[in-house]
Amino acid sequence: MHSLSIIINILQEPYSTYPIYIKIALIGIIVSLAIVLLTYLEIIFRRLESTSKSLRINEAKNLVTEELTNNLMLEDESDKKSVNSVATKLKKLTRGDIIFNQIIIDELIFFHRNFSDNTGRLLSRLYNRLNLKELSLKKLKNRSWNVQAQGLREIQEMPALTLKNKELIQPLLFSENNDLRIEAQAAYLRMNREHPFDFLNYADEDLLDWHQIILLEVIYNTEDLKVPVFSKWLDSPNITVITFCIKLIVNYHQLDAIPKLISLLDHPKIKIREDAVAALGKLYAEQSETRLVEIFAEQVLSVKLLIIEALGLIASGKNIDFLRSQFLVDDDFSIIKTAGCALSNHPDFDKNTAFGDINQLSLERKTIINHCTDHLIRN
Amino acid sequence: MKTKILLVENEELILRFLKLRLEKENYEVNIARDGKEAIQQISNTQYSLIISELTLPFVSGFELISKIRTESNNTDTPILILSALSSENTIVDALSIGANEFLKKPFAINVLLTKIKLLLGGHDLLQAV
Repeated sequence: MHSLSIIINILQEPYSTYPIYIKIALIGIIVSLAIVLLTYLEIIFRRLESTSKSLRINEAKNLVTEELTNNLMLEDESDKKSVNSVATKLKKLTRGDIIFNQIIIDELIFFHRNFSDNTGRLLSRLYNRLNLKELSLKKLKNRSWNVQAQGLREIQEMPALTLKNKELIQPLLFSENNDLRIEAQAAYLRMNREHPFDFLNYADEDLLDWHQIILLEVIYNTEDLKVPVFSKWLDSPNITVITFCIKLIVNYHQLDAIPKLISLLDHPKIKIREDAVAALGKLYAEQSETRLVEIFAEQVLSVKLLIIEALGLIASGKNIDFLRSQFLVDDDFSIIKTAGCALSNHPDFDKNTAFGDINQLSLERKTIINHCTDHLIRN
Repeated sequence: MKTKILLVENEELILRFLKLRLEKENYEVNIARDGKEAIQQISNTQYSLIISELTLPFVSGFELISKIRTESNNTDTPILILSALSSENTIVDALSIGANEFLKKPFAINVLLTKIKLLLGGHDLLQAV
């Protein structure tokens, strides 16, 4: 302390006679220079640190890749013994280092995503042998949602869950965070193959369109998924659950759901009516035709168009007069065009006889019907 | 002389592993990490088999197949597509523009090796004729 005050005194000596504002300015300059210097040092230190970290990561990645490819995946006869020996080597390399362990998890998942059969099984076994499952499950309890989502992705890629672990996912299924919720639902679908859709019973939050796309992708690409009767969710108070289940009913061709779909034609929400009508058409539900025609007049344009399309798909021939009258009488171009295409979908339809003399039709209607019946044009 | 295979894959880990695995099977493997690099390779060298991903940087797998079939020394070389893009349309499109086989990711190594042998066998037979 004493020596510091001596140094300050020596430094002050030449300026002792200077006015006070000069002294203050000098102190300001010195402090600024010190701050600039410290900032540069901090930048250099951080750069060195990140360079050394990325070098370490690269080195670790190379070691892990080499170990996995050369000593595990490359051998035709790799088995439990090879897994154990690779696990021992990797454990020695990692020594509990979090970054190293994450590299191993990432590489195992990457290879598992690309290689099936024996290689895939060996990779899953190694994941379990290295207790990496515990690390992934630990992430589910993290406060940060992106770490939780990362953990969910890891456990669904590497099938290693028990019923006890599934309970860890339950609270995340209803998270308010969209990204986390969708990851949890995808994980639940993949890991709960006996009752994969149970979460729909309690789904209060909307299943957004992109969210539904991701779930459908998981559903279509997961083997041995036990498919339930989706019509049981058509009464759900959550509209997006209903639209999601309608898609699945069509995809899995669940014809038993047709009566419930018909009852949805009276649903107050337009979106539900649209989806129900489209589904009935795709399921060729002949028993729905009468109801579709009955409700036609009171619907908005979008539903009307879908009803005409559905009648065209079902094409039983019972409503050809209805379609003809829409084609001939309605003023709306989209209705005329859709009705024309629906008519031409009927196997017995002949444009030359359906309207008496085709030349009696207006130029617009004649053009439309020629367009709809042109086999080279896909309508 | 070893059978020459061109392996076109943008994922470094898969590229490295498959190269090692195919070399173990006694094939000579050249690699390309994107479509452009692959086009350069096929213009200079005659290959017995080309294995390619569809999603490639710069030049897509589809463009690469077309180039191979129309503007290279490898117009008759069998092409095996190895891709995660595996919708029916993608497979049909790839096969209709000139690919000989399609293997979906994730795939089993043994299946890949068998397909390679079949394609090379057929190719050798064709050359013999």
